[in-house]
Amino acid sequence: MRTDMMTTDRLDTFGRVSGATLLASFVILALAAAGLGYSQSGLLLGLFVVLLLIATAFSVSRHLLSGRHPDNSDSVRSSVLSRGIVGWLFGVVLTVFYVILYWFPHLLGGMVALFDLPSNLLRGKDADQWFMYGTFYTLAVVLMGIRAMARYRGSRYHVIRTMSVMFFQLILAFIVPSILVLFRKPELYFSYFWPLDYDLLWPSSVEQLTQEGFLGAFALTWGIILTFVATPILTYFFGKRWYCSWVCGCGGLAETAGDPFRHLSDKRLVAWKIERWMIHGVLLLIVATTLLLWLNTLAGGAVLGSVSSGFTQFYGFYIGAIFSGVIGVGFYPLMGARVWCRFGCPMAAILGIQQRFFSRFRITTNGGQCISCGNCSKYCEMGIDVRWYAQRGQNIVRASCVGCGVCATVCPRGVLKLENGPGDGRFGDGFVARDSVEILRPGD
Amino acid sequence: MREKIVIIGNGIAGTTVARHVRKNSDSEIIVVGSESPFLFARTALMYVYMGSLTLTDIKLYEDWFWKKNRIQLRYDTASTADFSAKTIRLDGGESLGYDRLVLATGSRPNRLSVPGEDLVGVSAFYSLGDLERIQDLTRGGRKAVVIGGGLIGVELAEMLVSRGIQVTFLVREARYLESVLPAEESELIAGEIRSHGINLVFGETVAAVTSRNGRTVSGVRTESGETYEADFVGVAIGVGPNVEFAARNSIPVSRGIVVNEFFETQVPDVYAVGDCVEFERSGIGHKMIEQLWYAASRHGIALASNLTGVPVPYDRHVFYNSAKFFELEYQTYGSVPADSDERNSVVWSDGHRLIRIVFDPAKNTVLGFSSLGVRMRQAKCVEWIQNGDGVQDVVARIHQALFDPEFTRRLDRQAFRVQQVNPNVRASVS
Repeated sequence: MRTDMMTTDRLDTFGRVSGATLLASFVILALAAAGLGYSQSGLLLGLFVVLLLIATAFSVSRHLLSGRHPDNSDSVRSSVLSRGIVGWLFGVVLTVFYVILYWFPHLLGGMVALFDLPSNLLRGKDADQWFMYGTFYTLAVVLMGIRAMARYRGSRYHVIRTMSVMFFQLILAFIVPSILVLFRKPELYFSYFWPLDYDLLWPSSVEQLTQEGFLGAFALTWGIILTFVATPILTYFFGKRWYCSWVCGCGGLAETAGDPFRHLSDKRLVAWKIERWMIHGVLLLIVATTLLLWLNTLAGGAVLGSVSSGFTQFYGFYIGAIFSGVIGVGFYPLMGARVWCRFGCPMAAILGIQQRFFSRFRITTNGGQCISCGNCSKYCEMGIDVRWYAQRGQNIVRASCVGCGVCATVCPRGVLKLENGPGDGRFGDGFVARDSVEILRPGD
Repeated sequence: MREKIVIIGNGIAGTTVARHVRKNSDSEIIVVGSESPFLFARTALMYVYMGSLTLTDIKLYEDWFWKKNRIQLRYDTASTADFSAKTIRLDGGESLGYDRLVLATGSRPNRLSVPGEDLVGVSAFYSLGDLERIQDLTRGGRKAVVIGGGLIGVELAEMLVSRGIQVTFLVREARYLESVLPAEESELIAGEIRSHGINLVFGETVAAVTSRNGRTVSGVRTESGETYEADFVGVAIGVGPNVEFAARNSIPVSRGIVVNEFFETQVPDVYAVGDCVEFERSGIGHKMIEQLWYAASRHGIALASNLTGVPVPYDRHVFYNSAKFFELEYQTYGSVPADSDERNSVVWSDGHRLIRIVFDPAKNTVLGFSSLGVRMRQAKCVEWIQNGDGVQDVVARIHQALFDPEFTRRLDRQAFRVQQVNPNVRASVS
């Protein structure tokens, strides 16, 4: 392909067609919700899927037509990608959708009925709002995953990592739970663990799982081993990325559907300060909630009494639903795709503490090669001011880094490299600063 | 009484001086800048044009940084100095007294010195003002000519082609960066430039910029008589030290402001760093003018330690530089002469990527590296060069210096065609 065809105007056109088609697919959903979903479910579902495929095809083409290095020329100018009027509207639509999904599902009406056919095929029963949501989620990860692979095709790290999140979402978070339902088994998700799956280790769930026979015992053992054994070991060797940008469904959505919005994360120091208070606050809350619930259970209800259900409802409502759902995804076009992962996720908090203090993972800065252009900071979805470290010749060792690798990909000078080196010298000796010492004391 | 250090120029050199003086001392620091209120990454101007970054993104530090580090900024132009009274005067009317004055006035683009170069539609690409001008001039543009075969020229070409403008890239030399790069590197880069639809022409010297209406540009005419149509002409024929302030105030200048290895000018308590300086011949025995982002920052660190500690001479350390030609990344460490060939270097290339290891043919010790499309680890390359490691050893351990991302297809040395092998090192390469 002659790349002299790849003018930004042309790329913008592809992006606009893709966006318009996506909008049309939303209109289909609205028509379904308005009642057509009951009478015309086959037709509307077909149209919806075809429109999504067309939108994906145009978006993928846009990236295949631009160079092997990711083209970010639309992120500043496009209204939807730069908090313009379209971006705000999109954010409002997403947020309203989540509010309806969680608290006013009856308003979804015929939209849910649209998914009866796939639900019956997979689960042997009619769709409910959560099956519909899971289908949306999986479609977003898979279709936008294909787009992400096209955008980052110049780096095998991204291609393999994207395939990984697509696999875990499609198989472990969609098909397996559906098939379990088909066989009248409990709907289990093997890719989420405590404390992200916050009630997995609560007394009520543990009790329930132990009554589910082999499958329940397996799920419980799996969850406990992953939380307390596998997580520390994997995080020691690979950093938190093994989960956050390779396995996790929230991370999977952020890396695929959220990828176009990654630059909207706030890079200011003040955002980092707020982030640390919030994420560790949520971690404290879930640890305290879980411990209290267990104390309460062991003491036969003497500790909390009737308050215990209030506790669990509080966490489930404010953190589980509002934070991770409504804000976490609804705010994609306003604050980037990692709002939940950065400010709220207790799993990310634990992995982050370990990554910061007991891990081999770091992003190595290549000597004094940084030209301070700022592409790394701009496209960091976690809002890390990567340049701050890189221009000092320091390695980047930050609790929040999910190891997506985009900073290393967008760097025009090849300055950054994700590494699992030995712990010694992990923070880097600061190439630039070290040289200044040599200048001070040339004789040493 | 705290010492007062006034720095003219808020680019990377001047700001680095300020930051490192602050690290080492409690001096009062004032930085005067006329191009922009804050330090920005000049290296990133092309990304602002192409739309992946905004002007805010290319500020190196958040706005609180200056106050927190007690670095006072003046968005103004320094015009005159009175060295006996130790004051400078700004265009805005302010007078600034100083104990020590640092000139970090940077560089300015070289002029073509041909008829027509001041026509509307002709621009260099160096400053924020140039960026704005080029954004205006190229809106809806159709054809452009870029003059000059350096690093800025290829950036300009990439920018223009991203807007769908047909670009002719006129290079005076017979091959790309002839005086800096070995022939294989030039060829790979030229291929990369052409693969992006650029009409790359070597051996053409511009004789005149032409106009049909006497006001706006219509193209260029070369010394060979060839004409090229253009509604925009980008001039990127290098930069020279900006000595305007120094010259006006009788600080001795040659091509640049003359300094010794302590960055002292010939006026007491006046120093100069970065692009604007020219080292005295008696000094450090390497290139007299270093106009690189990296060098400016190193100058700044060195001068700051001189201003606040025991003065020690500037040492350039092992040279390094990098660039990106469209999608092809380039890095170089140590010494890689432009006439390198099989007598002094080993080259791997698969036609798209390249690594060259330069060595001393007499001693077989490694002197330098260059790479295209392969990222190299600076610390490793520098270590080998400083240790004077044998080229055979380095060839055998070259994977230790690779800095490509994880899962990059392993650089299979068997698959890389060894283009040139010195008989002395053949055994360990094949």
